[in-house]
Amino acid sequence: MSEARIYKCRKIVKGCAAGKILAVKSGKGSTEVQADGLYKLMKNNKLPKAIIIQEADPVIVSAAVMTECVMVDRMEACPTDVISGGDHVEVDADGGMTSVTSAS
Amino acid sequence: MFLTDEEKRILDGSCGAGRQKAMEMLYAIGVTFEAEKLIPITRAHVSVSGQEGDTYWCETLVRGGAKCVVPPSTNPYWDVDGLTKYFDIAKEDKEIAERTGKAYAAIGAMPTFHCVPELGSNVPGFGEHIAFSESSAAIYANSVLGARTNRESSISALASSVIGKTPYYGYHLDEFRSGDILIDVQARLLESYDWGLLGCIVGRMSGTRNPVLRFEHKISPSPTDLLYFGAEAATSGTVTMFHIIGITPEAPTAEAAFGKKQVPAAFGVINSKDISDEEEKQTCGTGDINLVMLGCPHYEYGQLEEADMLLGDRKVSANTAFWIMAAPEALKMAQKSGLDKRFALRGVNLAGKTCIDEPCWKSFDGGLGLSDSPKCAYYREHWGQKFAVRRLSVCIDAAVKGRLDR
Repeated sequence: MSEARIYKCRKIVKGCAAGKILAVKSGKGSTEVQADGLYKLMKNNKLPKAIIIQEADPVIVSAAVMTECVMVDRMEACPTDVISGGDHVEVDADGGMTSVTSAS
Repeated sequence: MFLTDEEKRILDGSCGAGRQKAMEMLYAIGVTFEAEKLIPITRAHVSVSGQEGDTYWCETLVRGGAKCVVPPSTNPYWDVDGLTKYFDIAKEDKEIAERTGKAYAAIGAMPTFHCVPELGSNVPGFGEHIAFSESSAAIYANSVLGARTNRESSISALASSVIGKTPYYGYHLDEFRSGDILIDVQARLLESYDWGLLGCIVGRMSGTRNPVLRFEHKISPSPTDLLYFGAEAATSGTVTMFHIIGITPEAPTAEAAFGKKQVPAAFGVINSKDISDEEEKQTCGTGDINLVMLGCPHYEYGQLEEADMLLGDRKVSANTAFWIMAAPEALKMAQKSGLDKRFALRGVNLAGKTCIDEPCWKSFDGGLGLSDSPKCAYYREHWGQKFAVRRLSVCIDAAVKGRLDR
């Protein structure tokens, strides 16, 4: 496994997560569907370990708060550019750091 | 973010677990968007959906003893008593609907169940700080009424109703309300439907930015025109506020619309062909239709009368269901005037307290639907029903034939 790249990020919902991480550009959809989407994942124990979001908006942030899903924004690099499927990602929301180790 | 001593006590749980949860929500949003403080709100609107997520949030707050200090108006979910007569509803869908009604009653929300509060049940004045979810209501309140709200989620708006406050950021501040892009409109818009199609195009062009529209010709849009425009701009894009030069209150001139920014060169031009092309883009196909669905956003009484007049003495095809979601006042008026019965005799049904985006419409999935609302088509397609989009007069002719030919 190659060496980890470390990026600063900012805590929205606190916690430390190392596992399946969801990296997204932004939320999408109406003013309630994101809450329902994350709620259903929570109910089925399928919540991501953390969400790294490029453009936070109140709808997705409130959904993460409700489900207590770790969320960070303002990562130094665009998360969807620097994270690929299969990479090993650790998010330390409290410490404001995300480390990415390429799968290849 | 600055919190008063009282707000800190709510956040540390001294005022109950429900209020603490609501304050945690507002605090997290405030910190995320660098709000300086919380400010009082005078009104709220919660986009109740009947989806389990927002019902769960309301139940969580209720279990913690929370009550709304600013009772919000509420979006519709679906009329359980009225519609279970017509449709087989899955037990779990009915249970969620019943839980929703109970939870919002317990927290002290207003049972308006109407998606256009800004034109009926909860109208803010210019400059009022409010917390409105329902994207079509938030954009109208900001743009047309000059009230100030962020694009709240149903759960953040409910948290604000419980606390009576909202974080002071975004559209509560002058600098976020000014225009970002200028769009020239050459298109001639015949009715509210055309305003909706314009909204689809403007939403895609704008994304999250505030568009400023400059019309080539003189216009005098009705509230319904502006409602349809905003509803679509907030669906195809994430537009929270728009300006129309010479029409909306914060845009008497282009300079005023752009605030401290320079008036930019036009970002794009929209003409009549763009509007007719958009109608085709919104339509997946033609053929036999099993459902005509109108009222997204909810129809007012004047629109019901227009549908009545266009239908005349004709009857809806036996193969096609025809449903109109109506505003509560429109429904009451139709009951008083007898229009509801006259509609029923011709195969048109009215539903109050109901949204198009609900499980009660599942039985139509798989067939082709027809609506005058691109927003309706967009949300119904998530359920598995394809929709064509046409103006009201075409919807009615197609309903009579049971078929959309073109």
